[in-house]
Amino acid sequence: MTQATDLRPLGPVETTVRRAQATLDELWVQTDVETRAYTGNIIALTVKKHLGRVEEALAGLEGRYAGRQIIGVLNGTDEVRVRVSLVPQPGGLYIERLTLDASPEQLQGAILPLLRPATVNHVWWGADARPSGVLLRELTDIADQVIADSLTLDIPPARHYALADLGWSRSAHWREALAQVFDSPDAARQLGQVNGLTVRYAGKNDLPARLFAGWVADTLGWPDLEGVTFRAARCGRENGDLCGLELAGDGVRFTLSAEGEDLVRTECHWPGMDRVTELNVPRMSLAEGLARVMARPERREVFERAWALARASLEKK
Amino acid sequence: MTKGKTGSKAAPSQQAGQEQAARASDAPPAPDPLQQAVTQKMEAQNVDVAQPAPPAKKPRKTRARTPKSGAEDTGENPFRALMRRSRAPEPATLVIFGATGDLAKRKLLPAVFGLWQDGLLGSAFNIVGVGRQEMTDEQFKDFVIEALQTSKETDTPQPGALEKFRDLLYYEFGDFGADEVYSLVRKELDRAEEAHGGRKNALFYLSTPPSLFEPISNGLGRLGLSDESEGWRRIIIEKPFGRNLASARELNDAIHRVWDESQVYRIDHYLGKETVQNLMAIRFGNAIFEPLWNRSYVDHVQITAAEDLGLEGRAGYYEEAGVVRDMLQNHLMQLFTLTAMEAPAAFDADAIRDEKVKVLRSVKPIPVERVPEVAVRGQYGPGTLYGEKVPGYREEPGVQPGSTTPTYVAIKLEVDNWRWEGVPFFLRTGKRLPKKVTEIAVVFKRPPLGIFPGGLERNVLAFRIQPDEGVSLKFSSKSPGQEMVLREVVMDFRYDAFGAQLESPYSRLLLDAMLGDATLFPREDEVDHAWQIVSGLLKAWEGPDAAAPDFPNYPAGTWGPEAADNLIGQDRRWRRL
Repeated sequence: MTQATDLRPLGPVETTVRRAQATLDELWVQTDVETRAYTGNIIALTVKKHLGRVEEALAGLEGRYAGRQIIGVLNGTDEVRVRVSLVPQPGGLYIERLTLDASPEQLQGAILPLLRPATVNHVWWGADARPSGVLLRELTDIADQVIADSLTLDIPPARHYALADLGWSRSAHWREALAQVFDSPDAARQLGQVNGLTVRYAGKNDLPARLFAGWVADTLGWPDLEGVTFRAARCGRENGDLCGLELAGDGVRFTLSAEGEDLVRTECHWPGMDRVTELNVPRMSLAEGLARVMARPERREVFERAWALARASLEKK
Repeated sequence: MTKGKTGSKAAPSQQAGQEQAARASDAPPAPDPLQQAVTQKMEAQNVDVAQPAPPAKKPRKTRARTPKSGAEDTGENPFRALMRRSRAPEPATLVIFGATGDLAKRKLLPAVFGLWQDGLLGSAFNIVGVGRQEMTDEQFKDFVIEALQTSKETDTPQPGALEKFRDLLYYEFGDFGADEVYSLVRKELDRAEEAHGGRKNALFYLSTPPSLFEPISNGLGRLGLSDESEGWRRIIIEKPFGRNLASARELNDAIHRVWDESQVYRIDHYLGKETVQNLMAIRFGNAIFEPLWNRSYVDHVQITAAEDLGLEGRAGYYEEAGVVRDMLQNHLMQLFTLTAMEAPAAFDADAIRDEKVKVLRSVKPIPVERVPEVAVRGQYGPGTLYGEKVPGYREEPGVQPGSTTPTYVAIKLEVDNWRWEGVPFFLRTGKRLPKKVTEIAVVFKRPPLGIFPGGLERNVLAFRIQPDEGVSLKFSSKSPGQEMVLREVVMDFRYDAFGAQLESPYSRLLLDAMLGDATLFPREDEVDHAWQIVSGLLKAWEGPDAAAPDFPNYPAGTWGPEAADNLIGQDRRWRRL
């Protein structure tokens, strides 16, 4: 449900790690809001270059997933700079945001005491470089979920946290659209004939397409992505977004093609049936993608199995 | 989306008559098919008169207790495995009878629009509004768009969304007692099938006065629209389902002459509320509450549904219904069953509804003689509310000056089962109470021994259904200071901490009905048992020997008649909300 807010943001206010909570409490006093959303922490680690994008994504994230946002900017020095603010949300709520500039080592000592305890911790690695060192180790220790570009950064799934990937999230509506095609039992009965998949994607980034193909292949019981063709295409969508796909086999063909900004045309053909429909497959903003992975809509093994097939296909590339 | 209307607005009465006659000739027990068809047609001239349904053709199939043989070839969708959403609705047509009425305008159409805009209605979806009012498709489209723009319940439309939604709308009109209008509806289903290449799935929503439930159900049956050979067919019936036990059973029988129970969705919008569903989530998704949820620890349970409003122009309906039919028999009884039921074997329609029925069956009967002991009725008189003077019920426009219609009821239910023996459930609801609030409060027993100075208070676990949706736990804590003084404090969870707007209950229930999930819809036996429980009240208060009530007996803006305080008994009091 889309709702606007006319609340004004409060802050940012410069403070210290030790005084951060007290400064936040002072900001809370200025609001007429009683409810604080203690629903979780999201720790976003990034670099100055990406800070604006990260802040924008977090601003669109509803408080239902994380009432406290901690942004760690990794370009800082050994002196920790802390700014706190209250970010307005729909429904008369605020989210607490703490932005910390410091070196990775200092960030580790600064972030851990600022986490609101006993709630869910999401760690979002929003930087290009592969994470390493004590900061990531400590954060993944306390994380319930690690969100990262897992194929580029080569972060494998692990037992003690759930791995999530925004590239995976970007194809979520396509997964739903494909599933909807086969919600009709007569279409589902044709799946045994399917033996090939073509995935078309916009731009040069084929990683979301590989994760998508991994999911399809795993669902259909294919051992690898040998039967999958990846094609770069132009469909007016952002780099890496899917443009379409085709599942084909003996006498059967299921095609989904992006049309315009939000629509996908589906065509199903098998003996005695020609079915054409349109589905709403809206593009997903970064904030929507984040919200989606934080809501954990699928069980982790779904992603992890798709990830394993996509990772193996990259090695063969 | 492919469009193109193949049907015509002209009433195909001749064709409908021929089809009807042809169908009648197929019916084995009919003695004279032609005469039957003629008779039906003549009866159909009477507006709103219930026409007979086709004779029962098949045994009831409602509940399969074992899987069918060959179930492996059911066309299951492997892509749904481990997805949160188990499936999307198949292509379908939503047919709303009474589409220009108040409920459709304020609640249903915004709910459908929200579902559609969120992409939850699948790939091919149409809405056919049906009414008695003459209107073209274009006029209906204008009506719907205006309704969406004026309703407070409409989600903020995305750019261009209203225009696209407009394309999904069609309208048919006619006399609900005749066949023409159903024939036109059938053509709409044919057209949808042609456009989408799917099956002719249809959900019929009866958003009409109760007097039309039976005529519409029969009309759909006569034209074969309940037959599922070309696609699923389901019917949603609004409350009230009957006006007493006998009429509810008659309506149920009439519905079942056309529909199998598995096709019938009796809507109680309370069950679509997030916080009502949260009651089950908290009870059965946590380990700490269930061990306390029984006669060993619970003293009593209070369920309150207070309204601050008066009649708001609904005097005609309310004078007939009264508070027992309007709130107690349906909404409060549903809240009661969800609070008292055992853990279901699974989270599915039959498992949950089985448990709810068990609770209703365990309620100690309330014959007429017990009514004074376990129930209190009331009617509001003039009073003040929110700093304004408000009239009494009898002064409301459209109400008889000497009306004996109750606007308040409080009742004590006793559940004769192992879990709840000796634990009373107090239910109260009324109009013109001090505020709008719905709450379920589980009041625990006091500690067995008081070792601290001062009295011992009871713990209370309260589920706030509306407003300020949430859950609170009241317990005692030491007050700061040198003395060991205990004070009650409240630990509060507010649903808005999730930072998300709550969806309309109608959207949840509509989507469930489209998916064929009846979990949140009362089953026939639930409705029947609920009527059984309140039948004594209705007899005692409305029967020929009913004593005249001493009405009005509570001023508007107060918490109801004093007798309600006696009902709850010594050492207990109603929650101050």
